[in-house]
Amino acid sequence: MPWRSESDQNTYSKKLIEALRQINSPETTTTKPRIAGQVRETADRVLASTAKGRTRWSRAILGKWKKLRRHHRKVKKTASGLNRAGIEKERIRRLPAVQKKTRVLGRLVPGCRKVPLPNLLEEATDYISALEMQVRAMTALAELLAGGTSAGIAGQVLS
Amino acid sequence: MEPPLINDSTFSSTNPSLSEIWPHFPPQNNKKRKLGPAAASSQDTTTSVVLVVAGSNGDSSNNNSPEEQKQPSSETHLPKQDYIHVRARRGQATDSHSLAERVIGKALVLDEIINYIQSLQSQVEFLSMKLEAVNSRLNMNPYIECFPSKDVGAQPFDLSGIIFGPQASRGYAQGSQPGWLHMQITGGFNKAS
Repeated sequence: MPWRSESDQNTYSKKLIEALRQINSPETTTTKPRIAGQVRETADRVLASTAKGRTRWSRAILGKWKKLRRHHRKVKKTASGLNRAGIEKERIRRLPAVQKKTRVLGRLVPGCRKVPLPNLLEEATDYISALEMQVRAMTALAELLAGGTSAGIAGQVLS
Repeated sequence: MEPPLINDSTFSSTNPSLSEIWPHFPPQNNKKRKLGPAAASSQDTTTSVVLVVAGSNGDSSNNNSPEEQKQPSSETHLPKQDYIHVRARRGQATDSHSLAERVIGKALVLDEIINYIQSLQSQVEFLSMKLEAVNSRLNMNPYIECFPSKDVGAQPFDLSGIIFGPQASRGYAQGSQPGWLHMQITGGFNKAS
């Protein structure tokens, strides 16, 4: 299974450590201001790149990140997107529960708003496995860094 | 909350992705099985399509539908079974009662998926805030956790051995990555010195 192997988790952890080191390095702290939620963004981006473009959600996350690099701020919705969403919401209230929940699920999985249900469930399956791996890796990393004697050694790797 | 009534065919092979989420779901959902005595009383008279939670073995009584679907097929032969799988009779698969039950079942499944993804995402959020706090602490005190250069440079050091603990020996070849880790540590240390 794709996200359960040790090698995947190791790959992710290493990439995450590298990316976190870049956040801390003197070059980036002087040229770019500290953005709130930077670690979260980084963690998601690294997760998406570990997926190697196999899934829609991972490509969507990488696409979002590329946009952010150019604009330096979050682009949530365009004006035309808002207009369409207003009309959609009217119709959605009259739809049965299953379709409402399908839409909610589509919003939760990155880049899957308009995806039909069977494909959406496949993407959601992969996304869930990836998130579980992300939680395992970040938990281990946080524990390592907040711990006792090994924190010093790990702290060297990050600074 | 009363136990959910979910139609068997909701989780049939027409929805292959669902069977990937719960791989242990019994594949024999097209065979006819005898109705247990407990199920007969709770059946609705017009259809025989219902997947009923007849009793519980004590460990699944509080969980929702996804947990129940993981019961292995061998348990259906026991007298005290949790599920009675019955295939719809001809012409009753589109009966309004069974359709309604199917819709409710799908909605419950989707609810579970949505809740699970939301909880995973909030866990990631929490962990990233923790890591951010750790990062800022390290930035404020660059020299607080220094090690003497003699010690760090001398031994080949395996950070992933610490991260993954005793499990590292199982799948991960420790000998294959010392070059990368050595680079990490000397790189990090050169900045501090």
